[in-house]
Amino acid sequence: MRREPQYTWMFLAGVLVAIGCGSRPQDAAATSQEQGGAKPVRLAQATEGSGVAPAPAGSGTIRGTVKFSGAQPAATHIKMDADPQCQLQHKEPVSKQDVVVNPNGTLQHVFVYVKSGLEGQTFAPPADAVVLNQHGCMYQPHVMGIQVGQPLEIVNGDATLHNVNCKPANSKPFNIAQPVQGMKSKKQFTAQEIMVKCACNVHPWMAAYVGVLPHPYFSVSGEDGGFSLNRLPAGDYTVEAWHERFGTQTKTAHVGDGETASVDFDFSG
Amino acid sequence: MTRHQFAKLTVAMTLILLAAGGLVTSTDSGLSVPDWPLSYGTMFPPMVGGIRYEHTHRLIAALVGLMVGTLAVWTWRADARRWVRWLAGGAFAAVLTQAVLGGLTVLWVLPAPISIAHACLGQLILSGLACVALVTSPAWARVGGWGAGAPLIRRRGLQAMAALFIQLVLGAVIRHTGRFVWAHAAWAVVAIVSLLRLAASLRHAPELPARWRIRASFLAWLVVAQGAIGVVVWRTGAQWAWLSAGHVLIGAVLLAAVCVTAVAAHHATHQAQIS
Ligand SMILES: [Cu+2]
Repeated sequence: MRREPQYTWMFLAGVLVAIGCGSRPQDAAATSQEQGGAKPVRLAQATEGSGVAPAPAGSGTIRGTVKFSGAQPAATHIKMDADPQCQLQHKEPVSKQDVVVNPNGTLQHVFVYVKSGLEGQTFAPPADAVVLNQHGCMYQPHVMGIQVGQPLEIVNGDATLHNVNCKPANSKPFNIAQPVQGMKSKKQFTAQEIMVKCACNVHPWMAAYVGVLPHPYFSVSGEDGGFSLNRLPAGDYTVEAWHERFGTQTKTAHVGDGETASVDFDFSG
Repeated sequence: MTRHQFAKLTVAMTLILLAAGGLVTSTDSGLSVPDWPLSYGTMFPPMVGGIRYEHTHRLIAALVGLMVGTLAVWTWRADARRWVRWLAGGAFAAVLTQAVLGGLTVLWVLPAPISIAHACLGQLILSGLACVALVTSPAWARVGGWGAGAPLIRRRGLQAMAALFIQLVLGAVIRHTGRFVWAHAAWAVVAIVSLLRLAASLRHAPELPARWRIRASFLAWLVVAQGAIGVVVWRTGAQWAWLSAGHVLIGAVLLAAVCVTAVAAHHATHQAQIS
């Protein structure tokens, strides 16, 4: 075989040119999007239902707690060493958020919402955005609700980069880059869905679940396991509780004007 | 460096690229970089988390693109055989197509058909490059002396090629949809048998150079190991990313080896007819 070294040199020159051309400033991608400082953001209140609607019609309330009667799962810690910036932000090890049992034996991160009973009524989406923050390489909140058409503001509160990969089946999926701290992006979902999963592929442990509903009657069980569906019109309702690992349960309830109905759920794992 | 040596180097780098690509799928990090062709607006984003897999894949892909381009230009100017020129040129065209498919998987948020096409085309490119390395080798001229066994080897080589290609598509379907595992598992029987038949015909061809008989044994052992790894990946729910990626990589090696064998056997048959 004839030796033809010039092609090898051509190839090496090509490699050098490519590397030289590629050295561009890192935050070039950020310019197209709204940027803010690293100020703390207002978070959606887990127990009040994220995104409070503009004065819905009624005065009834359904409230209760989500009990957990299964075996207490062993806390599994998240390994964050894939990104030193994530690890730096936590002095204590961080536990996984899929099954969080509160000290009082209740279950956190359960999405509770009115599944039926509101047919024929329409509820305009609030103009206020629901905020999904990324803080310490975790989503805050882990489970949340939003109305169809309501703005979702996704914020990078971290000094590292995230991609936000939301995979709704009924709305348009998206995957956005948030390389710079303080970056905000506005999105919305156009159709009802229980639940939309959002995840970060940079940090595979990050996951958030968003319940998208055409009405404002939803809530997420908090650190006391409680939830509350407020300002309901009088009527008969089916209420569903959703948990990412334990599935769904439904209950029925009747509320009159000014009344409070009590509904409890019990997940056994 | 001779063109044959450069072709072998390109094949080796393409293998590394396939391993990196397999790891991207196995670690689900394909969308960790949402933009393309730049990564977070730069060529060198911070190498953290899933970006380590995705961006490494992109960097190696750029290198392989340059290598295959170089190989194509070199072959076009230095090789008198028109079909070899087209083989090398075709490999480069396929690499460019592959880059676009890779970009679309990112920009269109991993649509299964595009991801499956990207996975399959990558392995076909490896096979094509392995054939370029074969036909530029000094041994190519001596392939003629395979004797009477060559037509059988060619036929079984083509059968194994078809069987392995189907198996490749079925495997890619599992990896990008999570479905039809049974089809890949069932077809594995056909793929393994066709490969073992090819290996047997290589081992029993009396005039074949000893080198090829050693390769046949290697092929036979590799396909058995591949089946075993496949079962482990299946039964453990693909929980080890490196093992799933290894299964993909071995599949790519098997397909390339069978292609090379079939092309060599075709050449040997042809030479025998001429002389
Ligand atoms: Cu992240």
